[in-house]
Amino acid sequence: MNFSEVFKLSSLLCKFSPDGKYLASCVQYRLVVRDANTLQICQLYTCLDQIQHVEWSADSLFILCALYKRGLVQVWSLEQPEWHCKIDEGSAGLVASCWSPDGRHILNTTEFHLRITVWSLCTKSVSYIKYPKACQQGITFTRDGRYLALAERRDCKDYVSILVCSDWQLLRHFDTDTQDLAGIEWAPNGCVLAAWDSCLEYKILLYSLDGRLLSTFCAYEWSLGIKSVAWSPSSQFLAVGSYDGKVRILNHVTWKMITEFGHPATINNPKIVVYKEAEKSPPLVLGRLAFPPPRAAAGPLSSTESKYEVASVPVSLQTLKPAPDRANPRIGIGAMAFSPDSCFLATRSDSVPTAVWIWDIQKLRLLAALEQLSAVRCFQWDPRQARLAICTGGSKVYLWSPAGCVSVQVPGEGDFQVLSLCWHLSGDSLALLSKDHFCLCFLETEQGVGTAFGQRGDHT
Amino acid sequence: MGDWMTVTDPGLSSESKYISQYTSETKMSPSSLYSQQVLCSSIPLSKNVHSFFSAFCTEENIEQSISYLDQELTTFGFPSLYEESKGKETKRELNIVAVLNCMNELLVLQRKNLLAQENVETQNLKLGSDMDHLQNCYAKLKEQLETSRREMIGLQERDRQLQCKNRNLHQLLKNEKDEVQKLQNIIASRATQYNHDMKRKEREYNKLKERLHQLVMNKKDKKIAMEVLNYVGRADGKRGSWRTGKTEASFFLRNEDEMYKILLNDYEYRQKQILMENAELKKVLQQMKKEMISLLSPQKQKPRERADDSTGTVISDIEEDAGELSRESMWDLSCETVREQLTNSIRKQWRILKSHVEKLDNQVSKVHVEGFNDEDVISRQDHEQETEKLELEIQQCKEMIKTQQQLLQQLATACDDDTTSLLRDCYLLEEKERLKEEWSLFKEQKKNFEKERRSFTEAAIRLGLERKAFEEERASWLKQQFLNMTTFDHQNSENVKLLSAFSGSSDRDNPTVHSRPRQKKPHGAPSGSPVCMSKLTKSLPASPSTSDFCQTRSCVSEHSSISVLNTTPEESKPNQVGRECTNQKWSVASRPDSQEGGYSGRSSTYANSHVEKDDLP
Repeated sequence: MNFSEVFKLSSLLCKFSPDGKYLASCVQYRLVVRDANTLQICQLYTCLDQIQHVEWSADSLFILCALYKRGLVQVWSLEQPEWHCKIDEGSAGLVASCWSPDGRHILNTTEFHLRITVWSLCTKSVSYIKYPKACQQGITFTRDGRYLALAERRDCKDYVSILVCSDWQLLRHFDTDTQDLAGIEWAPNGCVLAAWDSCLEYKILLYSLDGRLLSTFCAYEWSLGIKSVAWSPSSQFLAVGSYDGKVRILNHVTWKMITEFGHPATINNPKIVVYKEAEKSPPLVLGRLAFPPPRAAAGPLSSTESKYEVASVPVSLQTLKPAPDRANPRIGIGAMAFSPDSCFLATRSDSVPTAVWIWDIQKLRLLAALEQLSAVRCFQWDPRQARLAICTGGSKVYLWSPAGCVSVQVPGEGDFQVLSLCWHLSGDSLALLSKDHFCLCFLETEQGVGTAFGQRGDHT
Repeated sequence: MGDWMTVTDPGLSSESKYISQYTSETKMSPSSLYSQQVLCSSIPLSKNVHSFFSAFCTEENIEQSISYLDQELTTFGFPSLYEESKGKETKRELNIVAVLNCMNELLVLQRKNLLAQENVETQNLKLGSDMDHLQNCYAKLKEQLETSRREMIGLQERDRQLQCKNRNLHQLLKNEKDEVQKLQNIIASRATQYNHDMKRKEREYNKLKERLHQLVMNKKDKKIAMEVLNYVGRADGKRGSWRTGKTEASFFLRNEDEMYKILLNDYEYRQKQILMENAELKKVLQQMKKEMISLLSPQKQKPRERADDSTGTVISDIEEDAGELSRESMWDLSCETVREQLTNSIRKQWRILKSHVEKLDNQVSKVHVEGFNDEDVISRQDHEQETEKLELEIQQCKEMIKTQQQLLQQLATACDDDTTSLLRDCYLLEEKERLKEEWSLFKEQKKNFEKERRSFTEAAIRLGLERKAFEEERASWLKQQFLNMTTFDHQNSENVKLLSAFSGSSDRDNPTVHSRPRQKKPHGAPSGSPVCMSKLTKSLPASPSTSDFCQTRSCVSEHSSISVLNTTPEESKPNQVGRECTNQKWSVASRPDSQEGGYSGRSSTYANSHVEKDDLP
């Protein structure tokens, strides 16, 4: 495992292009595009103000930089560096900007969710979509980029509009039986839309592409409801994480619940492997200190190393007591992610912030649990295989695979606090983002990288 | 006080004494008065009271005391101490008899009283103790009563308190319920209020948004614009086209078409997947079915015998089904038609399998129960190991048997002669055994025969000797008779001789026989000796014939025994039974007169001759 040089970064804005060739990163008002393999700078763009949002177009030809403070969107072309485009939303303001799947339209949401403006790069046309709902996840495109589903609010009722992306025509418009729609999400096959209510009510509705209601699911009443929703890549399962600390898996045939994954604080089943991160202070062996001074001692001194230990059951995990008088209590399933082969599901319960639970979907049971020393910030599956990368805001990155678990120290002067990470689509490299810097972690291919940049550290 | 009194005046003390005496005695008798007078006047103070009292009657007051006593006694119902006086003037005489009687009576009374007193005292004691006991009991019971009363009061108090508490709690509960109801009402009202407000706010917000939208959009904001260097082509290469009223409808239709196409594709994909899954499941089902049939068919003989008709019919159904369903074409039919059949057959098979498994389970459990009944529980593993071992052994034994059978067959085919001889030997051995037994039997019989023969020979020898003696006797007798014709005196002495000779041969064996002829001969001899003579002479040829017969018989027996000895077992076998029979007849015939019989027979013949002799005259 090799690590690249550390590069500057701001606002955690660092993205691989969809084709995997480039890596865009932002430093204040500058946008830097590098080759994803060599990390050589390909292009350097300068925006008018600090960049707050960056997004690649689906064909990897354009990059969108949103400057929300100014109400501006600047678009850059990778092929034609001299080409530029600037969209000014003026006094209407800007709170969100995104590409349409065809990569030729930009959807800007104005302040107060007054409307969504659809700007075309092909023609000078502008379309408006009124009454978008200000919610957690109000816009969703199908995987194939044909359709857009949009949550709307009119006359105190929730609606969903399905639009055809090619010409922004309204295909379907229907009201949803929700109190306060919180989010919508297409199934990966683009035929089923999941819509769920706000946390005050446990309710998830499933709509067909043609607007028919397929099913509704309600696990319980009178308690805080859904916190997170995730489709399996095969569209077979819908995982619904809720505030009661459980994940419920629905199937795609009857839309009934298959199973329920609880997240208990103690694990008793001896079949479950519990990896516990354990700190290990550098061993103070006299022989080692004497002569010759070893490389580890000469190199950057990592104050604490850590390793995984397989804890023997029963294991009790650290739990947080939620403050009942605060809004958004730290309970429930805050994050879920299916592995690309739909075989595993990784979850994080907010009341047990240091643990990641990995469930076996084929056997519908808990497979492993990872307990970190600090709260889990982010985890993401390798897009090619069942490999999960986890970061906890420390100077380490953790990898889990069915074969085992590994904790890797990120080398570098000072502390490199990994706040977020994102995989290259080949699964060969991993971008690790800290507050001010980022570096790449190469997992498989060492040649080329090593010659170009030199090995910054070798932790295997 | 007494001390103090004695210290003071003796007169005073005497006075007090007097008073005390008076108080105790005043009502008892007038004599006491007198005595007091005496005491006061004459009797010195040194005399003690007791001695003074003992002197109730003095010389002076005899009369008075007698009269007093008389008075007292009469008042008590005793007869008067005085004799009946005729005249009043005459002085009454003291009747000593009456006095004595009275005294005696008094003494008796006294004794009685004493006894009664004693009884009363003991009763009193008893009663006193009873009383004490009862009092104790009473006290105890009283205490108990008190404590229980106290307890009861305490319990009542507690009960009261609890009831009070309960009432309070009820009240509290009621209050709480009311509170809850109130709160629920409040919540509901708040919720409605909140919803209402929310809606109002949202409407206001929407209005504001609308207004803002109008304001922002109508301002003709110069800023809202897009600066593009040059427009780029579409990703799909098409040119962007403006929507017009005409095209919109067609666009819409096209979009609908596309949407439905996508949906259709999805459904088709899913159907295909389901079909594939179905096919796989069918395959699995078929395989399972086949396996089930193959599993169940070897057992079908047993269940048919064992269980009732249902299983049998089911099995036959299965066989039919198997025949039907094994045809591949059936599987390609839509599920509708096959499903019922298939599910039914599977269900039946499953039922059979289940019952079979249950039966096995029962057996296992039975075995287990039996196993558990034993003291040491054999673990299942051990059991299985044991059964395996036993099975192995059985297998080995079977193999052994098989090989042995094979070897035997081989031998039979390879060397016939040997085997036959062997077989014969086998049979002969058996026979030998039997023959041995017979042999031993024969030996015993032979021994018997030998004994008999010996006895016979002895008898024959004796007979020979006797005959000789007889002949001699006869000769002598004839000679004597011959001589008798000449002199009769000689005859007697000769007769005695003959008799002695006769007895000499047989006296040790048969005394009766020995004595009889002695006694009878003298009788018959004088009476009818000539007749007897003639008779004897007549019978003489017969006697040797009997002895001859005996001899021949013994000879025959001798010969037969010898022949038995000489014959080899093989040869003797066929004749054996017959000879044995003759032997037995023989033995039966001979045994009653083995040694003595011979003589008795002879004696009988003699007796007969004697009888004849007796009858003759």
